[in-house]
Amino acid sequence: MRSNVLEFPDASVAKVGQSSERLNSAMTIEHLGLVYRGGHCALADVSMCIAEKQITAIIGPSGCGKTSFLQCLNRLTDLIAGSEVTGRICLEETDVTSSTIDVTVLRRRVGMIFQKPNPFPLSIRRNIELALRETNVLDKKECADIVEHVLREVGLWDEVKDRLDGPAQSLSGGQQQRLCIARAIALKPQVLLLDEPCSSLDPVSSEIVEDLLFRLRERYTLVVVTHNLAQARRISDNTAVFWTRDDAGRLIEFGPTQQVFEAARDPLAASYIQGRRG
Amino acid sequence: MSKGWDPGLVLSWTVAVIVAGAFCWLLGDVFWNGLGRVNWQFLTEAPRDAGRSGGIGPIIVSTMLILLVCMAASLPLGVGAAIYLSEFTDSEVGFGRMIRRSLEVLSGVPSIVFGLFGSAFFCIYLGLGFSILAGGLTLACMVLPILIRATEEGFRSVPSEYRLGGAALGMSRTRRLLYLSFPAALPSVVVGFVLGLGRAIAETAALIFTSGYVDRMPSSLFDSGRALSIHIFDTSMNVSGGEAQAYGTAVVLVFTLLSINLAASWITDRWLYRESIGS
Ligand SMILES: Nc1ncnc2c1ncn2[C@@H]1O[C@H](COP(=O)(O)OP(=O)(O)OP(=O)(O)O)[C@@H](O)[C@H]1O
Ligand SMILES: [Mg+2]
Repeated sequence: MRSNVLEFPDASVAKVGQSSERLNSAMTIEHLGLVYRGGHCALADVSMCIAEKQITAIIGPSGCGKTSFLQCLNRLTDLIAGSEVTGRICLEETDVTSSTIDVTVLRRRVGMIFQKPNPFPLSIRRNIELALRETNVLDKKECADIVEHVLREVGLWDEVKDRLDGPAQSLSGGQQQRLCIARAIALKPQVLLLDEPCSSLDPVSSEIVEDLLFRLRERYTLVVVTHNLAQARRISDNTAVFWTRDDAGRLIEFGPTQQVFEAARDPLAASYIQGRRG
Repeated sequence: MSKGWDPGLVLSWTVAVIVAGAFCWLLGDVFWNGLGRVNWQFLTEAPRDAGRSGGIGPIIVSTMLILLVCMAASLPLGVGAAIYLSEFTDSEVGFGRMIRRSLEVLSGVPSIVFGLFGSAFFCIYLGLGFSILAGGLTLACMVLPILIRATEEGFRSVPSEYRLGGAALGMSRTRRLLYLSFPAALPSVVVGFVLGLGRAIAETAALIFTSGYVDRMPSSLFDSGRALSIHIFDTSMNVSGGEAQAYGTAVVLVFTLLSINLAASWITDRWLYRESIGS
């Protein structure tokens, strides 16, 4: 079997704090496979390292398993009946795929933002409070502080501070998406997974969210799925290209963004990036 | 476009007029004959002379108690079952499908069969005798399928984004259910509840063998109590000269039924609509 480990030839080398030269890795993924009910193989043999406090972009044509990949990283695959994950995923020292870990704790450490903004049908404040309740922040004052803090962090505070108790669903799409990001970072995650966070937004909102991602990079490890190659190139440090090959989603190219965009080794990836395929 | 008679149109109009006409005739008949009877005394006094005169006070109380028992038993069971079916089982295979099929069959069973079952199980086997408790529990068995269906539908139609979003925030299944699914499904629970209530209040056959005929004011749930529908049945069929009282009672029953149905449609329109536009 041909291994797909690229760039970090031996994933275990890139352990946290091992070398000051090499960037620390927040997550290591080894030989990850995912089979949905009915035997459809969404992912096969995916291995990579996600560098800490950097943006890793995931690109590839539709249906190649990008969303599925993100869902493996925080075990949202558990919610899909009949799906089966193989391989190993480590978040620092935690074995993510282990059956004994507390997935709710994991999901607080690895947050996720969806393609379509999904604020709950509650007020803006309640959307964040509901998330906080999970971490047992019960003190009113503390809650209010965190709400303000995270809303400032996503640049939403000035826009909504007068209507915190208004319905979250009356916000614009871009504001909703930033609210979702605020909600996720209220839990102080280490890693944030973003599944095409800008694709349902207009160009202006999209740019605002993109700037936000770039700012968040200082404090969080980000994994961003995007169909916008220019965006991937602008914001990411590393880029992974997924491709459907032999009826399974595979990682065909992975490395520093500049290298992937200018000198991809895989011919399919190279032609995809130049807009000739996919 | 031809200006001639479109047979489809004529047919559908005829049907509509017949249905609406039948409904109006029925309502008109009941109200015409009964409305004059209904006053405060009628609503509060006890029936006299086997129901030929007097009021229906104890009967209203018994009916309410029967409904109370019915809803107290069926609501938690029904909502629990609906949550179980929608959140924890796959409706197409195995156990979930079995329950679903059974419910479909149950909701088609004639009420007299429920009455016989209730009589055999609650009255005789559990020793409750003719009592409000037995009647209410029998009705509960009858409305459960309706309640479960409506509620389950509500839970299934909660957008999966909420569930996924909640899970991604590290909310446990119980909390997602409590804070996200349940509030979103609540209007359907209410609608199911009201539908069940409507079915229960109109029921006669299931109550004849279970809660019985006694028209005195009940002093506990273990007393027999006569429901409105049974009072109508009895005064119009078994008591000569009781028709007028039957009509009066029918007015009360129909009025309650109409109010319940109006409430249901008001809730569906207002609440579900607001829910769906998400404001
Ligand atoms: N719940 C599921 N059950 C079965 N198959 C699924 C499920 N979700 C996704 N798939 C299949 O897995 C493959 C990968 O899907 P995935 O959503 O991960 O693709 P994607 O790369 O995110 O695509 P897009 O760019 O369109 O979002 C697709 O062929 C899809 O049909
Ligand atoms: Mg996707």
